[in-house]
Amino acid sequence: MCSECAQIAFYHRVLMAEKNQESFELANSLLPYYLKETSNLAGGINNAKGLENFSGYPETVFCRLYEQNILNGFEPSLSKFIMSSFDREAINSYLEDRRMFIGDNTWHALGFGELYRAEEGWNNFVRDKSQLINSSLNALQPYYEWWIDGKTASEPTDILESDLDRFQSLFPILYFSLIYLSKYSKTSRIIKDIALNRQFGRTFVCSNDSWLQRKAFVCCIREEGVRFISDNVRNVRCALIYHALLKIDFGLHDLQELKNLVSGEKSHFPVAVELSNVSHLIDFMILMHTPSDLLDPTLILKVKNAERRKELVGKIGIERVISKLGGRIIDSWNGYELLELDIPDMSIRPKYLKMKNPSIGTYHFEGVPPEITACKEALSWRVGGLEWNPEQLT
Amino acid sequence: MIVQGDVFFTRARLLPREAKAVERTARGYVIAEGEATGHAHVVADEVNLYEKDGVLYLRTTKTVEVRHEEHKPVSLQAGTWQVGIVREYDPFLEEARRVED
Repeated sequence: MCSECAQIAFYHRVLMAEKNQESFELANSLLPYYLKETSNLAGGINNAKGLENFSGYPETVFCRLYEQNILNGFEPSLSKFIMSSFDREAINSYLEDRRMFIGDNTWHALGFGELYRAEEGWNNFVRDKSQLINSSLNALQPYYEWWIDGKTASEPTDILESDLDRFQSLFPILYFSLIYLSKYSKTSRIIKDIALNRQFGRTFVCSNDSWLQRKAFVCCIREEGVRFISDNVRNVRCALIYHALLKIDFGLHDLQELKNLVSGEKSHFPVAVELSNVSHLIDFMILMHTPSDLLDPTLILKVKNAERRKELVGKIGIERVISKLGGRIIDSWNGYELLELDIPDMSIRPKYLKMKNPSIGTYHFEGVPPEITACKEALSWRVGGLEWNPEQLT
Repeated sequence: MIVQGDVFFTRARLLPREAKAVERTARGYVIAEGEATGHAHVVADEVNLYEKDGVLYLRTTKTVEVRHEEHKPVSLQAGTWQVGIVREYDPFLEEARRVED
């Protein structure tokens, strides 16, 4: 799996955890990707603030703030929260870098605190849409010609340190520009050019390049649908499809079309492992779009990825899974049964206590830890380790 | 111990300090509510319900009934009761958490 796909896979896990309100562990190494992609910026910053490396990412967070403001309007509390999440020195350094920008004066506004403190400051900046569209086009076009089309045609070692500094100082403007165009000038050719550049995969020297490309790609899909991929299949990086699958809620029809594209155009995708990831994810998403009563519970035996298996079990329902797969009874007591499932490739054998609701006579299953070997032990664990001897049970 | 579905009651000798009173709702005192079904374990009689650190305590001076849509009522005698919610293990979630791919 390439490093970008590994990060996307991590993001998939975070998405599922957020959806199911489960906790997840955020490591320093995954912090930049997380801050770039979290769907809840304020919540994401809260999760990330405790990490040692967080203070090094004001640029990423400011870019996300521009995105939120452009797409949803200025939100004073979010701005205030972000300004208070970094120390003053880091904020001042970020703003100063923006003020030092040599070029279109429009962008100097990004270096002044007024833009972030009050709605009026932001609204003044974005008032003239046509000017901002022009400035955005004028920022992105040279970026494409200089950085992508020019420099990245060579080996990464040809990129001078001064070039990299120039790119990094330019980046917040590029990000702002791309998001602005994606909202107010969606059909701009430059968005497609960025989305379709295959050279990123070989030569990108900065993860901000691929971030920009992911944004451009999702924008194009939202605008043109799966057709954007089918029309440009030879120029689409596979990791971008993987990313789009997580960002966009594709319908069943689109997923099936994507499946055909991926399986029919294998020769155009450079890395077989990436293709396999995408293909499995599409298959899985098709399953998740299928009504649960039409799903065969034995499908969980074919899903190797633990995250996806968990989701699929949730969709099918553990009762149906156990009914279909059987399960070995390892203990019986007083009408209770302790069952063990044998699912290939699982590191543990899931155990369930089968019990009857004495009031209405229905049966259900509850999971218990793998070390439990007897019904009474399971019942005691269920109530926090107390002795299982109820005076009343209904 | 008195068990009604996924809720169990055990006798408590004392009410914890700083436990906060829980208000009665239109349905009565709600001990636990199912997110998916909307079914709830409810005491319709007048009792005192408290909460401390996410744990509920019920104090009553007379025998009261706890009702639920899918379980027969259970009765709690006068005294102080601690409310427990049964726990469940998700083998698939635990496995998913452990995977480092």
